[in-house]
Amino acid sequence: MTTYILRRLAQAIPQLFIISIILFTLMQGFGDPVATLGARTPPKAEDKERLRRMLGLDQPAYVQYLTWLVGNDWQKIDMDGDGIPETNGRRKGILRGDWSNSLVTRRPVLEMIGDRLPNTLILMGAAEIVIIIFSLALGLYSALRPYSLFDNLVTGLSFIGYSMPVFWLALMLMYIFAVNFRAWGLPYLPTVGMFDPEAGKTPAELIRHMILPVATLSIISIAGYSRFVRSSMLEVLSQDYVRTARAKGVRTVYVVLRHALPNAALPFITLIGLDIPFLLAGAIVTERIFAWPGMGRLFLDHTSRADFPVLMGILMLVSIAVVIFQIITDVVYSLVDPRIRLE
Amino acid sequence: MTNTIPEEPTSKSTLSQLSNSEGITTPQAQSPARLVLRRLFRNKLAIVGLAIIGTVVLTAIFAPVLAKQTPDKNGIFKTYLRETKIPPSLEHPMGTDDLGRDMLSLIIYGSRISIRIGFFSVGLAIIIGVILGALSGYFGGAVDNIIMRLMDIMLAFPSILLALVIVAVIGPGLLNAMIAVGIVSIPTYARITRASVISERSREYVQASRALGANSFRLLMQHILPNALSPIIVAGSLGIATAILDAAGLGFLGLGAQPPTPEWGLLLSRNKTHIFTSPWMVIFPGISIMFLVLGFNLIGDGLRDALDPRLSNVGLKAPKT
Repeated sequence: MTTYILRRLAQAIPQLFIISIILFTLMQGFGDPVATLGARTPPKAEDKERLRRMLGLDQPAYVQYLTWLVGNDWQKIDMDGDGIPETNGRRKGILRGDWSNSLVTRRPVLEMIGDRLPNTLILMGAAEIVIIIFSLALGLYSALRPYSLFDNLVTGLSFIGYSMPVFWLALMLMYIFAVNFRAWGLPYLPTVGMFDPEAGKTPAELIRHMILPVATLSIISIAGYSRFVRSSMLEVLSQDYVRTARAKGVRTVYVVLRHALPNAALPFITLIGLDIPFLLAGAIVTERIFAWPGMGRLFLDHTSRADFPVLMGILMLVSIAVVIFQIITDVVYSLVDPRIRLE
Repeated sequence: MTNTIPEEPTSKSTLSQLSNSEGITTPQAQSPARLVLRRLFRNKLAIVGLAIIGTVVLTAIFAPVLAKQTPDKNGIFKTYLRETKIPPSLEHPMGTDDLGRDMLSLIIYGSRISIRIGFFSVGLAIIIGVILGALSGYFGGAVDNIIMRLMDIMLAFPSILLALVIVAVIGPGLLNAMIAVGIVSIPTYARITRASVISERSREYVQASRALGANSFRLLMQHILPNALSPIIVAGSLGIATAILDAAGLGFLGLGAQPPTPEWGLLLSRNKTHIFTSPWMVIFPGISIMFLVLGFNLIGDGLRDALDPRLSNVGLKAPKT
C-alpha cells in the first residue's frame, strides 16, 4: 500500500510539471497584465515600461516560468526599473514554497488563496454533504420502488433539474426566497455575501447566508447523482446474491443496507472522490451571483486582469488536489472492495 | 409514465424481450438502425425530447415569421422606449425589456444561436476527439501516451474553469465561446473512440481485412470507427445539452456572446438586475435554455437506452458551476 501510494505520487510529479508548463504557456496569451494596472488615469508609456521591468515581465516567457518555478534569489534583478540589474531577486519559486506575488495586489498568492479557501470550503463542503445525503436517499428509495409514482416523479424532476442553467436557478431562488418572501411578510433569506454587516459575524448569520447558494449548488447535482445511485442500486439488487439473501429470509432493510448498498455505493464513491478536488476551485458562477468571497470569484476577477501568478496558484492547487484525491479514491475503493488489490 | 424506459437489461437480450412483447416472429429481419429507432420511439420521454428539439428547430427556422419584432441586418432590435418593462400580456406574451423590445421576439431569435452553439461545439469536439482517439488507439505506444496524458490533464480541471482559460487566451465572443466549449469536451470523445479502437483492433475480421490488403485508413474508417458510433451518438446528444449550458454560462459571465446578440445566457445576465421589478425579463430566457437542454437530455437518454443499455451511467455528471 505504502509503495503503491509513493509510486503514484512519483508518477504525478512529471504530470504536474507538464500541467504547469502548459498553463504558463496559455497564460502568455492572456493579454498584458500591465494594461489594467494603475488608477483612473492610465499610466504613461515609459511608466508602463518601468513597471514591466520591475515586475520582471520584460523577461522572455521561459525566464518568467523558471522564476516562478525555482525563484531568482541568486541573480541580480532590476528592482527599481531603471534597466540596470542591481539587487538580488527575492523570489524563491513554487518548488521552495513561494507561490509568488499577485501582480495586481502585490500580496503573496498563498496568502490570497488562504483568505478565500476557507470561504469556498465552507460553501462547497456544505453543498457536497447535502448532495451526498439527498442523492443516496432519493436514489435508494427510487431503486426500491422502480417505476412507482415516486420514482417517476423523481425521474421527471431530475431531468428538469439537470437541464437548468445554474445562474437561472440561483436567480429564481433569490426571486422566491428573498424578494417574494419579503413581499409576503415571511422570513426572507439574504442574497449576497457571507455576513450582514449589522448582524456581525455569527454562525447563525453564516448559515442564513449559505442556504441559497448551497441550494443552488446542490439541486442540480442531486438531480444527476440520484439517478446514478438509482441505476447502480437497481443493477446490484437484480444480482443473485441479493436474491439468495432474500430467499434466506433476511429482512429487506438489512439486505438493502448491508448487502446491496456497499456494492452499489462503489461507483458513487469514485464519483464523489473525483469531485472533491474540484470543490477547491469553488463555484465560479454561483459565487459570482451570491457575491460569495471564494476561490471561484478570485479566479474570475484575476482572469480579466491577466494576473497569472494568482491564476497559476489556483490552477496548480486544483491539479495537486486532483492527483491526491485520485490516489485517495483508489485507496478507499480497495478498502471497500476487497477484490481490488493495489500493487 | 408507466414502464416506458426499458428496464436495464443487464444480461438478457433486449431483442427477445421486444419480440416477445410485440409478437414479432422474425427479429433477425430487422436492420439494427430500425431496431434502435423502434426502441427509441417506444420511449415516451425520448419522444418528448424529440418534440422539444423539433419545436425549437422550427422556431429557429421560421423566426422571421413568428417574431413580432425583427432585427435589422446588423442584428440590432429596434428599441421602443415608451413601452419598456411591460408585463406579459396578449400583445407581448413574455413582456418587454428595459429597452421596450419584445422578449418573445428576442427569445425566438435567440433559439438560432443556442442551436448553433450546441451543434457547432459538439461537432468540433467530435471531429477532433475522434481523430485523437483513433490515432491514440490505433498506433498505441508513445502517440497514445502523449495524447491520453493531455486528455487527462484537460479532465483534471472543472470544465468551466478550463473554458474560462481558453476564452481568456482567444478572447471573448460567441464564436470563441463555442470553440472553448468544444475544446473542453474533446476528451470525452477521444476516450470513447480510443476504447472502441483498442477493443476492435485485434478482432479477427479486422485482421482478415488487413490480410486482404486494406490500409490503416480504410481499416479505421470501414471497420473500426463504426463500432464507436453508438457511444459517440449518445455522448454527443448529451454533450449538446452540456455545451448549450456551458456557453450560456460563459455568456452570463460576459465572456460569450456580446450585446446586442439575443443569446439566452446573455439576456439573462443583462436582465438580472431587473429581477426585483420585472421578473419576466429573467424567467423566460432561463426557461428557454432549460427547455432546449431538457430536449437534448431526454433524447440522449432515450438513445442510450435504445443503442446500448450497458451505457446507463454515461453523462449523468452534473458539473458544479
